[in-house]
Amino acid sequence: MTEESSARPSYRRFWPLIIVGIVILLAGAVVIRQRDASGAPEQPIDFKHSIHAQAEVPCLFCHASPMRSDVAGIPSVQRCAGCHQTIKTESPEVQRVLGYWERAEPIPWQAVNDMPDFVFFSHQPHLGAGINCETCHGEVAQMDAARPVANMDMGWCLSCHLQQPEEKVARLTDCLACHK
Amino acid sequence: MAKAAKTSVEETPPEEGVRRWGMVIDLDRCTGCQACVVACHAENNVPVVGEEESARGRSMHWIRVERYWEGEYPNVKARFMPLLCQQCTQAPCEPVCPVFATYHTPEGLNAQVYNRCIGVRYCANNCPYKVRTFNWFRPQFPEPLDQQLNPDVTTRSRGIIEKCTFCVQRIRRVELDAGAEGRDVHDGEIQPACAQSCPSSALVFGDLNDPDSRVSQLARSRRAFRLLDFLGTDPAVIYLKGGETNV
Amino acid sequence: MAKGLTRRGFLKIAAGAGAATGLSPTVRRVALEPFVRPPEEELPGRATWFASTCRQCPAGCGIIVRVINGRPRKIEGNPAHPLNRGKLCARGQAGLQAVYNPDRLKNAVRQSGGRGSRVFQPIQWEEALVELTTAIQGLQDPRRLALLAGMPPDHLHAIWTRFLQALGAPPPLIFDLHTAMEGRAESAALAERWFGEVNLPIYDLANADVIFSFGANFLETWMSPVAQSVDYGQMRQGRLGGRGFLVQFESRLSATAASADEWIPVEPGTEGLVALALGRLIVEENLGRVGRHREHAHLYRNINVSDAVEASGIPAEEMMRLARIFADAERQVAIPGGHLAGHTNGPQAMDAVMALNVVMRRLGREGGLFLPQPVPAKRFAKPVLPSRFAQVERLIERMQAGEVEVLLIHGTNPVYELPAWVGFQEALAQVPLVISFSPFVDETAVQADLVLPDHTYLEGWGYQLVTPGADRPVISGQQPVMEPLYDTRATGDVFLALAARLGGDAAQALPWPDEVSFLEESSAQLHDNSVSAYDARTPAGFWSRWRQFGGWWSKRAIRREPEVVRSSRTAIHVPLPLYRGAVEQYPFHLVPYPSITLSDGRGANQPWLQETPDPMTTARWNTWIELNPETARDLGVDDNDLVKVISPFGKLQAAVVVYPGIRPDTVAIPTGQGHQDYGRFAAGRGAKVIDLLGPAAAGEAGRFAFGATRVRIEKVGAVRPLARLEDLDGEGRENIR
Repeated sequence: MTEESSARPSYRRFWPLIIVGIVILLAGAVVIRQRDASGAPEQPIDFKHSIHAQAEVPCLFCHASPMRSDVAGIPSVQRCAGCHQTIKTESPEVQRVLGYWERAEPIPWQAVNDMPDFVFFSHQPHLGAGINCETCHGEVAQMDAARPVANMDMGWCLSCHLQQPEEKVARLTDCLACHK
Repeated sequence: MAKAAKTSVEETPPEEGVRRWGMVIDLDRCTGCQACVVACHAENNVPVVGEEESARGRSMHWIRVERYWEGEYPNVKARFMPLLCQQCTQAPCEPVCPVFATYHTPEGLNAQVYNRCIGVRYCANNCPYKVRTFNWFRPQFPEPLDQQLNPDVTTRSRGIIEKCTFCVQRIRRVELDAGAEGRDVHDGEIQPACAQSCPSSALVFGDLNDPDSRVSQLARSRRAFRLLDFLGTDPAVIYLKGGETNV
Repeated sequence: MAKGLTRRGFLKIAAGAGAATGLSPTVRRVALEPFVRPPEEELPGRATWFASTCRQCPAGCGIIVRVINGRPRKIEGNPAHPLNRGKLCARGQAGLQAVYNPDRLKNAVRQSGGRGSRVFQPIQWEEALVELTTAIQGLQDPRRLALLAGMPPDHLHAIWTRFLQALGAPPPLIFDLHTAMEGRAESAALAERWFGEVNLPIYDLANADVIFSFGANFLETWMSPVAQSVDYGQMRQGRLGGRGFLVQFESRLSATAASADEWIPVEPGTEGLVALALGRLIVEENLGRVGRHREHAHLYRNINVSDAVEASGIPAEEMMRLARIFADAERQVAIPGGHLAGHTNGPQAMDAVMALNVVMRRLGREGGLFLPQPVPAKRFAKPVLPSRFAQVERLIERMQAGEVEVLLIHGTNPVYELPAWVGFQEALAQVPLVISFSPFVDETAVQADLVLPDHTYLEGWGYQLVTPGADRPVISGQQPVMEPLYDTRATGDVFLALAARLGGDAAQALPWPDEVSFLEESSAQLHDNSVSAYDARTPAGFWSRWRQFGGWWSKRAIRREPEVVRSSRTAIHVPLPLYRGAVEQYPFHLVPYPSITLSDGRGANQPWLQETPDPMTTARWNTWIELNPETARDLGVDDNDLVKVISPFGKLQAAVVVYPGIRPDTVAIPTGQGHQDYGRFAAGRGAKVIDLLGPAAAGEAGRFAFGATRVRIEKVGAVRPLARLEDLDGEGRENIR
């Protein structure tokens, strides 16, 4: 703090506001750069969920663990190559996938939905309660690149948890049900 | 500090079918070995603050072992007392939080919601057991020590209070797994990291509302007392006096 | 404020602020990199548990390690393991900080700036192996090769033994401060004298109703502290027969004594005299069940109880009271601990303690004393034990005389752990090639030419014969729970590769391509064994069960009753302890004791262990000096005052802890600190008590008398506040400075 700054307090008051404004603009710019108009993040492969759904590949074939684990699981490169070593090998995108497989490199998929670090979320009890994938993830079968359909904030979580049978609500709305 | 008072754990009438997590600490078994302290650091991503900050009383142990001297040389005795959050039913820390970051869960845990905490430290000042710790600085985990961090537990940031949770992540995990298998949680199936590691089994965790649980059985011992019980905090941690038998 | 800020700097701050204002969930990019080939047992988002063995001390506790995304996150005791039965100590928990230690060596290195320069240059493993092969081939005489190791896992010992034998070099020499201070070698020698077997006896603490522990800190670091603590809990409150009674004889009230019902502060080194007097009283007065002691009368010929009364400072009537407590019990046991081994009369003192068990017929009885049952396979039959200290001294003499050309050092840090008077560092300078296998740059690695880092134990293979502590034969299995983090190499593999390159006898003695095949073959020796806790149809299946269980053990408890081979006609004589330092100049006994967290100093690079308070003083991150309140008053010092402790052999300076549980004529200092190297958490912290020690008194050469040095204390006149947990005001609030 210099003498000069304390002499002009009125000007200094605006600094936080200006910074917040710039931050919001910057953040917006980052969002726009990273995601296309639909909100889907830019992926390393132009993967189309819709084509796979039309071929009647069930969600759980690739995202194999939501019934048993916290996470649904991103398919291993081996899982992709398992089919694509014989199917659609002429497609340049498939060839790129096979490139990863041959180089034994993981594909750096970008997360579509992301939970903050202080949130505990597990797929298993949600699927166990009979909720299907589309309830939260939307009609991914109609999408090419997956995009978020809900913003997945706390209000969104509670909108469902509060509608559960009365005896469950207290437990399902307890902070520690989801905060860790 | 430790005052043996007549204890009745039934002070709070049990609600039907609701658990009340509690712990019994048998001071006759405790050897002061510090296994619980390190287990807690490892399980809960509790930061290390270094010598200088420790000397200022800013170490972050969620559980500590207090040592009390009795008598004088040569008739001197030392007694150990592990101290962690007592998970009070009438918790002095809860009403003073201006942002409801600390509150009581239906299962009797005294919870801290880290992303709500604004770091006023009223709760820590109001805690008679001094078991809430404050992050004075950003916790340091120099690479690759960060790879040890337990993904089931948030890493707290500077300026917030943290505390023992009875390893709520372990409670949640066992409950989810039991739910997935369509069964109830067995007594003894959930073990916080401290109780899990304790070599002499001085720490026992369980449901105080289940009269048949091991923790309830032990809590009915004539050796049982609760720490600073006269404050009316109704703790869920019950100590068993050392140096005596149960009969 | 913003004047000095560059545009780039500002953008960085703005981005940081964006993350902090809660916008992070939408703006942060999270890459989800899948496995290329998923491991079979891995379910994303789920922890995988691997069974292995703790190597933070030589006890050999079974562990299970929680691994998520290929990274171990938590170590716990293996509930199926018969030794530690699901429990683990503070040091065991902290093992993760060995793996993830930021100061680990990331590859093999050459100290290119010369020894002590701390200038290390990475080298290829191939280059290291070539250099090692050439050096061994170039030896004038194979006996000029020496291997010095801390208590190694048994498989490594087996590989070394074969290797050195094939070359005609001397067998591995085992020394580390931890096992020296627990008197491991002396305990085995004790069993040899009494039972004709070099082995470590098991004391059945769980079922004893009276335990007399003579300087055994069995709840801290001695032998198998976790197993003993499990038994202790059982002894206290875990059985119907009532609570056991523990009496601890030692000059400083250790954490074990704090848990005892009675602490008897004897003068250091007189524990054996006390044990002898107790035995004498029992036999003489026919205490306990009358008429059973006649056959042992010879043991106590020419013993004068008053001698022990005078030496130890325990009054005669107190001696009698204690003798009655011991004799009147139904299931009593006496334990000769590590402190006894640190005195000139160590072996005789341990004899006197053992005699109490023999007189009360506690051998092979519930709550008494047993010998471990050997594992029923040749390769696991013999336990690895530390060498006698005389052998260490002999090695140093040979090094000094230029008779050692290549010295290999593994799992010990002799430059730090050996007292200065032994002259190890000076002798090291006479060895042309010194190679350390330490994963860390410790004080010894700084004096080495090459450092060929071994994996840390969570990355490596192995097995270890569990002794003592378990009620049955146990081999604890060690397996990697993760890919090695760095370009380190298992020392077992280095020796196998070396043997193959050397060819001849060495290659024949060690035909295995890697240590895993050696382990697999070893495990097969137990396949189809009738006492196995598990079995499998094929050896391959058995090997996989071995890894799943974390070793091999018998399905039921098997303990052996020791048979006394020592003649009952040979009297026990415990001489008075001899001390270095004249009492006029050096009025205080020095008791160095192993820190429960840092042990002999190996834990000092693990921040959890540094931050964990010492149970008795609650001090952390430093060295302290424990003084009786009366002594402190006489010296005019108080808590946190700096004092100098001076022995005839060295001096150190540290802050005082006024400690009610210590004799006024004794000062105690923990081991563990005073590292010069060994990484950021250890280096330059506290003082090293071992350097105060001197050689054993004349006529007792060849003994590591770590408890037999006298010191004087000088006030410095400065204050150095220790980071004590209890350093709070009366209200328990933190101090405001």
